Amino acid sequence: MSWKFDWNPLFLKDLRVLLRDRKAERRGWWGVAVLSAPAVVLLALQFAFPGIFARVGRYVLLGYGILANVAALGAVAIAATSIVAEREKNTYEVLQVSPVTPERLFLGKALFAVYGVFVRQILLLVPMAVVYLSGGFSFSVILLYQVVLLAADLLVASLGVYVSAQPHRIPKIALSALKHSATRTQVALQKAMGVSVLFLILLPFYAVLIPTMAGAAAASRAATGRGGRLEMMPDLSLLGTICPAVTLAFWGEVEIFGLSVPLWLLTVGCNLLLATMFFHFGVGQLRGRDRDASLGGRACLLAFVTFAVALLCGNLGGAGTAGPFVAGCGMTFLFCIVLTPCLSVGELTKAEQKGFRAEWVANSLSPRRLLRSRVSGASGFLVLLVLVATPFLWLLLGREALTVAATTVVSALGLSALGNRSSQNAKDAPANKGAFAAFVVLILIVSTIVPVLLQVAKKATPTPAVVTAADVSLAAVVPLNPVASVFLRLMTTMGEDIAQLDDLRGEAGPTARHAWVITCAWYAAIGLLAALWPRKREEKPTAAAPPSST
Amino acid sequence: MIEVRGLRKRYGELEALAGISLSIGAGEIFGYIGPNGAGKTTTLRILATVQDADEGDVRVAGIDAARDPEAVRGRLGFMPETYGLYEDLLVWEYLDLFSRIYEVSPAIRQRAIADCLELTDLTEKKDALIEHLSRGMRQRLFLAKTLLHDPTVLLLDEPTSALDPRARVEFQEILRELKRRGKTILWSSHILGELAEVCDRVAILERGVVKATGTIGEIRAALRPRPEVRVTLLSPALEALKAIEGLAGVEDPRAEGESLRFLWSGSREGMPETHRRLIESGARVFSFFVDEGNLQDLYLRLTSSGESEVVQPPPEAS
Repeated sequence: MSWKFDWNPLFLKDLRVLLRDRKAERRGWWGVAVLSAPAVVLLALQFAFPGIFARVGRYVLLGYGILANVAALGAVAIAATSIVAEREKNTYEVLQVSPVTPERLFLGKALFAVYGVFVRQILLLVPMAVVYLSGGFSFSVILLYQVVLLAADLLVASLGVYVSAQPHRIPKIALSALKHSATRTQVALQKAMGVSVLFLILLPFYAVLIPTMAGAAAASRAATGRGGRLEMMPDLSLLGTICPAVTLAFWGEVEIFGLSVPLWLLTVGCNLLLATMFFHFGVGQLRGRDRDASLGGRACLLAFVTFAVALLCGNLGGAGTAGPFVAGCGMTFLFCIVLTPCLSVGELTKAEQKGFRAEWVANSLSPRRLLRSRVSGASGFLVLLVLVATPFLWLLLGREALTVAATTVVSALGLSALGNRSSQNAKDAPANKGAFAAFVVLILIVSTIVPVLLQVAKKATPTPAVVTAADVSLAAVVPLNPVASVFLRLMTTMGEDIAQLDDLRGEAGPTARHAWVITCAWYAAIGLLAALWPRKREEKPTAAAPPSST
Repeated sequence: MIEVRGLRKRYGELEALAGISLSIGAGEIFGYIGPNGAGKTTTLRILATVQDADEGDVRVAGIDAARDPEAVRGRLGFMPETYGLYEDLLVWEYLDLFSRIYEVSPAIRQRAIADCLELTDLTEKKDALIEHLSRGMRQRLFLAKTLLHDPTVLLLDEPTSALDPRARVEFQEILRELKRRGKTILWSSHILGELAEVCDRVAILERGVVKATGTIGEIRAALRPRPEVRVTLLSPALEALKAIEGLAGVEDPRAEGESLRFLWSGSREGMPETHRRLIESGARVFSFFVDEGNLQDLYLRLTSSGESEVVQPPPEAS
């Protein structure tokens, strides 16, 4: 009996186009260059601070994990635009009437996304090898982690195709000027990227932010002979069941109801379970009314929820560590909701940008519409979400919920007003708005990451210069970052429940406690300044131009 | 080959199909005509199993489309009005992709692709990028793709709507060749003239109702049973009028200056005799024209708003 392997034709088609695309080849080499950069940085660090990886330990693993997750976002982008793009190009109906099954279509699209990103993850073996050679990794970790990454790629690709298979509508609640211009592909991309960024980047980031800062303070005290300890919170390791970066940071075994299980195995299992769930839901979407496919997805969801609840009940101690974690994740997620619609503006065609500009100028000419455009749209949506979420946050955080809500609303409105005015004054409003949003995101990320990295460096090599830089960043940069300021506030006020934060509370002092006040004042001032700043004359209708041209 | 019984489809308040019935025999080219919004595309999409009907039965090659859509898809080729092509593929790659999707045996795959390219006159373009093809070539390429798995039934939804006259003629030639190969073709269009040249039978659809079914001749006869004869003379028409008055088949004769008009209810064989009588009466006949009814006028008459006339279909299509 002979057996012949039959390649998925849709996978072959996409692969064929990719391999012939010269631009893709160029982008690929850029990718190689970018992904090789960490290896160079790690080598330099090893050269400058011999043995640094052995001392920093798991934080390097986490950094590598987040890097791998950033690469996995490529899979999300490819998958999320796959089927929705077929619909927009009118090729989906051609497939629909052919004998290709929804399962085959789903798998073809998901496999291509996984293929694309797995090549990049193999490239990440280079920095991993550097850390291995300097004693940071064991060889088994390198091998097993590739299995974990493959499972995670399947999950994000499956999620992306599922989102892509949905019949998207252009959101009317997003930025009012965007609702006529965004394409369904962009909407699908934003949805999938939003969820993936939350799970792949923010989740591991916050899982380690608190213990890192607490550990840094403890290390600082240890360095001065006052004792202290350096440990991550073991209960956060359970986040590794869905996030491979956390798995790498907490590499080892976890105890579930008295049974020791390798964490990587749990991650692979959960990722495959969730990938299967999205597969079933996606096939159900493609079939229209297929109850069997949806039932399969619901069964997977039920299995995962049961497993997660069992893990939480069996292993989580108090709720103290979960509070700041949930609040931080939620707030950053809200910021993403505000800013991601802005990011897509730069991708609009010239005709769409023209429409965008016309509406923007029309808004500027009417005080009522100007006011509405500033507080409605994305920022209005954010305020609404905060109002809904605050009672729940109150249950979780007590009166600190008001701190979170106030910081979120004030800083979002301030940023929104700045962005709007920046667009009005620019010659090419949409492109400028996109650049502005990218700039804000970059500032938020950098002003959160830099203090954390400095704290890590301070712990590893507590030289006077590094210690000063770390303290300055904590006192000056963090209060201007709404996300970080909320964290600091929560950490210093809820520290009673978190033993590891005792040291940090002593270190951060009043700056940390009042960071959120400084943040609110700063963003309120920005918002007011932006609202009162005069518009450029070019945007107003002139005598030379007929009114219709504006 | 295609049997449709009592097909109904509603979109909210709008009744797109109000219980239509059709019967199309094997090897037939069947024209499906109607103005925009008449329900042509909805019918074809239901036949192609892309869309579900609210009521009614659809059978393609004897298979119930609602119960076994996969089997139906394997037997038909559907060419929607608007479709997308993978612009970044080569012509042969596109056909190779769909031959795999349609599970054409690897042993005959290359032969099938070559045959389809030859039939649609695209052999020379097989290594060209699709984005570089003209509109007509794209249409032929999509037709080639539709034929790859050798379907017995072809559903074509306004396939020539965006083509220039030359490309339309070429497309019609391909359809004639497909008919010779035994394919059953359902061709939807809103241009009656082009269908009349190729189709064996047509159905005229208006607001979800089939107004007429049959050959072009049958429909013409049903709508205009008595052709009008127009004679242009080089002498006064009054003399000629006297000569033909009272002749068998001549009805309602009218003379206006040098032109003569009358309705003809006799047989075709009787017409030369009328012509001879005119000549014998001394009338100087410049032209003699039998107007059996302009197709476009008949079509407009059937599909005009408020028209409630329904032409009874012939017995075999009822």
